[in-house]
Amino acid sequence: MLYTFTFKQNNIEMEFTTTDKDMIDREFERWLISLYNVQSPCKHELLQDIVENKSEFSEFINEVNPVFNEVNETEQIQESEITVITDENQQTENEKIEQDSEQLPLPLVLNIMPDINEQEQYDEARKEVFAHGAKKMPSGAVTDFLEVLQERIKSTKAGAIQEKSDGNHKINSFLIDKNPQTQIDYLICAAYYLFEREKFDRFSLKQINYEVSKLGQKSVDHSVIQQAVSKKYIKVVPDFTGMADFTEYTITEEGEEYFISEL
Amino acid sequence: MHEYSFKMKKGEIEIELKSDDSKFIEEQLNKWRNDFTKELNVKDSS
Repeated sequence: MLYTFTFKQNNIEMEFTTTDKDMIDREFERWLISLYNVQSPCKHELLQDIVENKSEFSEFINEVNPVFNEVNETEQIQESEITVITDENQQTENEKIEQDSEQLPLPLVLNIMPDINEQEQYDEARKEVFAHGAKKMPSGAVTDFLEVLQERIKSTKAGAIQEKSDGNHKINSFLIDKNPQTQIDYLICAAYYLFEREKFDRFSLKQINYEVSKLGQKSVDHSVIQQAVSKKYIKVVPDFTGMADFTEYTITEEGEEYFISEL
Repeated sequence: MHEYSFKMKKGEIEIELKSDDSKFIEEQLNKWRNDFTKELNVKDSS
């Protein structure tokens, strides 16, 4: 089976095609999470409202929730699309690549950032969502968002809910030979996991706490973050614009060394 | 053995990367995604 994942942003396009279902799953989620980080708040709320009404999607979205909550406060609208294509053909991979334009089903288009740049339009869309519940969504991009999620769940036998249940154990498996004791230890474990396994080169406190919560630990607070910064295990990512709504951190070499050698 | 194909297009520039090395492709994807979202954040904040 061949999977294609396409991202479009104005004049920039990215297309990723593979036969590796696990890889496409991981990449799709990473792109979603990354993109949610740069959306305007009204779109986040709208998408979240809709998705929370669809129980089969809520599990999946819970994975994204930590990032949902850290939306950018700016109202700048970007036009983006994500396309997910699944090829059910059993032809060889090379034949598929050559013929994909003819044989792949029509792409499902996800406008992650729908064209809602006025509060009035946003309110109208919300009204429609609440009036009709999850059965009837606002037309256009947001509906497509759900379709893409639904298609994604269908196209992977495990499905998003299964991924969620497995996902809860990802960090636990990653840390199976580690023995964190203190809050800083858990912070470093989560930071290293996000960096090494999830490939985030920066992360917020909420992302850290999302992973820490999977380990059954209480949330890391700012004092622990400060201790980790003073020990040079993590460092603050400079906000050159001065407009960031939350602080981002990155793990340092000292932090990596601490994780590898001390934990 | 899985096959991976990664295409990027920006304006008139197009790059295509094909490989069966999942680690290499994943690294390239992550690097590009991080660069891209940083660029978006800067645009979004300006």
